[in-house]
Amino acid sequence: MKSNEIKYVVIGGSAGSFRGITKIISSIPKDFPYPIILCLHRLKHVRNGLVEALNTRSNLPIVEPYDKMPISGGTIYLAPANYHLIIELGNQFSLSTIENINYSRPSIDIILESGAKIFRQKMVGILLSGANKDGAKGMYHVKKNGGITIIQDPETCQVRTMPEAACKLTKIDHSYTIEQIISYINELY
Amino acid sequence: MKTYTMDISLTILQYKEILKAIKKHLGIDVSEYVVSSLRYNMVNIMNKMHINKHTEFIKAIATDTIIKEQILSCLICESVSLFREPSLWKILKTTILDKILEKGQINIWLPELNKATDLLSLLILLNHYNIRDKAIITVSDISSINIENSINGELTREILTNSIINLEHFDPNIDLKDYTYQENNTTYINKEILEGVYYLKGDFFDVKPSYASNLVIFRNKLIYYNHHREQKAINYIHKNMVGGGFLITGSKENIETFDIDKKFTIYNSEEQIYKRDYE
Repeated sequence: MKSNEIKYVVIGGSAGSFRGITKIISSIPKDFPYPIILCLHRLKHVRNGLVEALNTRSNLPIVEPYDKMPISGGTIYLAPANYHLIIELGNQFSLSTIENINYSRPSIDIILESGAKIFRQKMVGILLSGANKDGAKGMYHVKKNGGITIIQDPETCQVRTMPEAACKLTKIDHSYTIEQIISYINELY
Repeated sequence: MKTYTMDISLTILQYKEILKAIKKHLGIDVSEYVVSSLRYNMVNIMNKMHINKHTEFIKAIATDTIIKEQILSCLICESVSLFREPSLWKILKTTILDKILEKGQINIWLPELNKATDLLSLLILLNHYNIRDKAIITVSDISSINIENSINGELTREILTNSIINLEHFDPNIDLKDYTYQENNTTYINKEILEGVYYLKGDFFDVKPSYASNLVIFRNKLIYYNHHREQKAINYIHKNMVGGGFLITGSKENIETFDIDKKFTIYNSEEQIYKRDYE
C-alpha cells in the first residue's frame, strides 16, 4: 500500500470539523491534480452558503455535484445537503435519497464504502472530528479494499467520537494532526 | 436509529445474477436502474428476509410469491419527509400554481408515487390554500404496495419528525394536525384529502393520465435510473404534457445534460423546474 498510488481523496467530517476542513482546502495548491471529495454533515434544509463559503478559501473549484456528474481531477466535490453521495461505476457520482444513515444524509459511511469499492487502493479516506459513528464502517471498507485510512488525531479534535469509532472498528493507518493531513495530501503528487 | 447495515455484501457478479433471476422468474427487467442504489435495496430485502447469501435470495425469487411486490416497491427509495426542500414548495405556491391557474385547471401527474410524500405534501398545500377543487391529480406506480400504502395514508413517526422543520420553512401556518387523525397510536392523513386522486398501477412507460398534464412532479426519481432510462423518461413525460406546462425534478437532477432540445427549457435552475416547449 503506497501513497504514490493514491489518486482519490475522500474526506468526512462532522461536528467540529469545519475549521479543519477550511484549513485543508485553503492549503491545497491550484495545480493539485486529483479529485477531492468532501462529505460533511450539514443542515438538510439549508442548500446554499456552505459551498460558497468554502469556495472563498479554496484554490481549487468547489462544486456540489449533480446526479451522474463525471469525477474530474483538480476539483473539490462537496456532498449536497439532504442527499447521499455515491461513487458509481464509470467514474461518476450518483445521488440517493434513501433514509438517514447514522442520523445523517449525506452519510460518510456511504461515500467511503462506495468509493472504496470503486477506487480500491487508489483512495485515501480521511476522517475528521465528529460527534457520531458515521464513517467508521466506511473506513473499514477503505482498509479492506486496499486504500489508506487516516483519522484526525483525536487529541486535536473538538469532538473525538467519530475518529475513535473508526479506530475501534479498523486498524487505521495514520492518526494525524490537520497540519500533517495537509502535508500528506500535498505530497501525493 | 438507522445504522449502515450493508453487512451482507453483493459483488457485481452476484448482483447481476440476482437481476437475471428477477427477469427470469418475475418477468421484470430492472437492469435500467442505477447499480449502487438498487444493490443497496436488494441487500435491504435480504436483511428483512434474514437471507445471508445471494444464492438463497435467488431461490427465494424463484419460489416466494410475495417477493415480487417487495422488489417492485423499492426500485426507488424516496426520502421520507413531507415538503422536502421547502423553497421548492414556496415557488410552487407563489409562482407555478398561479401561472397555471391563470389559464385554467391544474392537471397534475406524479409518476413513480413511491412513498407518496410529494403527493401528500401537494394535497396539504392545495387544501391549505383552498385550490384543491381546481386540480386534477393522477399518480402512477408499478407497485401495489406503494399504492395501497398511499391510499391507507399512514404517516410514520419518521415522516412526521422529518417534516416539522420543512413545514416551518415552507409555511409555519400549516399545522399537520389539521390534516391528520390518530387511530391506535398511529397518525393518518385525513381520508377526505385523498379523495379524488386517480391511481394508476403499471410500469412508468405503460401508464399515463387520461389528460395532458400541465404540471408533472417527478422529483428524485431520475437519480435511480441509468442514463438510458432517464432519457426515455424525459421523452415520455414530454409526450404527455401540454406546451407551457411545468416539470419539476429534484434539485440535483440536471436534465439539461440530456437531449431536451425543443422539449424543455429551464425555468428555475435553483429548483430544477423546467417548462415544456410548445413545439
